[in-house]
Order: sequence, then C-alpha cells, then structure tokens
Amino acid sequence: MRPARSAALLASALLAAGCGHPLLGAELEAPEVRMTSEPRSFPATPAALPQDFCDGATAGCLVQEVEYDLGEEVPLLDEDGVEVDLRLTDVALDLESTSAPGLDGLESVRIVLLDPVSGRSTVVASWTKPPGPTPAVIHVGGDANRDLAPYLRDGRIAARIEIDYDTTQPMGAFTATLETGFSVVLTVSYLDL
Amino acid sequence: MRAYALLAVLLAVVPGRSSAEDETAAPPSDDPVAADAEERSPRLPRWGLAIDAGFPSFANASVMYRPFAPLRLYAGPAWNYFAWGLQGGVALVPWRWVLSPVLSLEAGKFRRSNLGSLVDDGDEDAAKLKPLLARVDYSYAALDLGVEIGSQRGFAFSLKFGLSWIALGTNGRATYAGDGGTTVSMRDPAFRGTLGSAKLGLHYWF
Repeated sequence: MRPARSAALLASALLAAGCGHPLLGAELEAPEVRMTSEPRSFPATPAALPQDFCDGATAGCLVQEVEYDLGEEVPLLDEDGVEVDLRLTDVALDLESTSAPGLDGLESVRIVLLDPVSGRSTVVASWTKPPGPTPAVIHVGGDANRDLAPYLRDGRIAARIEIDYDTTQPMGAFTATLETGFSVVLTVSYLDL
Repeated sequence: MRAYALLAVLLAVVPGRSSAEDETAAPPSDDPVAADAEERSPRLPRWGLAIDAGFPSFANASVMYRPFAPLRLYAGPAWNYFAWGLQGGVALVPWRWVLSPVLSLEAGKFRRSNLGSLVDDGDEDAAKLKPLLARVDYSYAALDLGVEIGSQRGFAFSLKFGLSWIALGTNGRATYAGDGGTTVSMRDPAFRGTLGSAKLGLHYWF
C-alpha cells in the first residue's frame, strides 16, 4: 500500500467519523431540560385587581408573565459565535382550584410566547372549556418541537399565561404550575471563531 | 460505537499478507542510507509492545503487529484513572530511520465510569450536576502525526500530535432549584467535538 493511498484512507475515515458533526468544532447537546415554575397564584374573580388583567382588558382575562432564564442553566447559550438549536419539546400547565366556588367560570387558557423583536405573540398551548362541569384540576397540553430561537434574547425566553373567564360567573382563586420541556444543541465551529 | 466502527473500517482496508510476500513486496528505497540498512537486515520484527500516554487516549498498553514494513496495527487496554477501556489503531511509517515519521489513526472507548469524585461537594453549583457524572461514556478517535526516535527493531520513543474527535456522554438526570423558585432538571447532556491530541510512547519490537 502506497503511503499516499494510506493517508487518503485515514483522512477519509476521520471525515466519516465526524459525519454529521462539525469536523473542527464542538457540540453540546442536552436532549431534555425541564423547567417547572413554582405554583403561581391567580385571584378569585371578580375580586381581581387591574394589574391582574390582560393588556387592554378591564375584566374577563387574567394574565401572568413568565420568564425562563435558560442562559443561567445552559452554558454558552448566549455567547457570540455559538449556533443554537433550541426547541420546545412540550409544555403543560396545571390549574388547581384553591377556593370556592372553583373553576366553573373558566372559559379558556393560553400559554403565549413573546417575540422580543417584533413583539408578536404565539400560542404554544391552549385549553377551551368543554361542555359540562369544570374539573377542579385542569391540564393544558401544548406544542412540541417548536423552534425557540426567535424567542431567545440574552438567554431568556418570555412567556405569558392568559386565562379567559366568564365575568357573569364568580370564580375562586387558583394556582397555575407551568412545566416546560426543551431540547438544546449548541454548536461551535472553530473556523468561525 | 462510532469509534469501534471506525477502527473496524480501518482494519478491514488493510490487506492480509504472508511474511514472504511482505519482504518481497517492500518497495526499493531511493535513499542510500535506508536502502543500506534494509539490505543489511531485511527482516523487520513483526511483533512489538508499546506503552504510551497522552490525550485523549490517556494511558495505554498495546500489542503491535507489522503486516508489512510501513504499516503497523496495534490494540490493547486503556486506562483513564476512572475506568478501563480498549483502544487500537493503525500507523503508517513510510521511512524507517533512527528518526522516523509516523502517521497514525486510532480510536478507543472506555467503560462507563463514575466521575462524581471530580465534583467539589462544597461548590453548590457543581454539586447539583453530580448525578450526571455518575455514569459517563467516553470514546475518541485521533489522527496524529509525529516522530519515532530509536530502532525499528528494538526500543523507540514516539511523540505525536494531532487532532482528536471526542464523544463524552452522561447518563442520568440532575434536578435542582433554579432562579425564582423554578425547578430545573436536565437529562443526558453530551459533548462531541474536535480537540487537540498529544501522545508520548515507548515501543519495543521483538
């Protein structure tokens, strides 16, 4: 075997080994990062205060802002030169009634992501009350495999929980626990540094 | 597994030859010094032993086999303080002088190991990731270029540098308290990437 041919074979094998990954770079992958917020308290209605209402609403819609500091948990996420593939794998919101008369006044629930550049909001999970009595615990399931890169700024993602309720029907206080799953792949190409 | 597959591919492309074929197949050298050396002792030892250490291979012992003069295969156990593993590779030594250039491609894989002892329990941030380090997989491939100093029939030192491809995978879940009362859990993070490599070795042919 001639040396040149051997060298070519060796080089080809190394290229094959790096197939699908940066040959001169590094990749950090976390297939599952889960963040569960502590239960957030929502007031009973109609006792809610103006700051509890959605923008522009005087009643009928409660809101709470949520911010995930992913940069705190995932190293290099907000560094220059790092290619980020950040995806929302699942989102779930559990509402639990904490006082009478329960959640019968609840009409719909939305979890909304906020685009920091355009200000546009995107619904990633929603629930609409079905006919019949409202259960004491509600599970709101959501979107999967959504690209979160447009929503990431300085390592943070801003979201909002919006809850529509029937203003003619009193609703007790309740808590909302938001659990969100992410996957993240960070890629650094040495040639780009 | 990628490292083993790579090694298997490399071994598969090396043609098998008999001893007699090898000696007759050795290309004539234009270099008078090398040609003279080969004429005086045409038969190089086929088998050898090697020990070496470096990154990313850590400490290794190998049995070497020279199917024909410029090529050698080697394989053996590896140790990285936390676990034992297996490593092997192929090296090309196109000219055999006292100072011989060597190009090698090798791969290795270590048994799943517990790196938890690396974490300082007093460091709160590091300690929360300790569960991830309880079962760590580590494998690598490296392409190195270097020199061997010494005899191709006895003792020789080698020093090589190059590029390596490393895969470091964790198996587990770490759960800890994040900011603002948030609970964070992370499962199976992994690192793959290209890094430098370096290796210092001692060979003995017999």
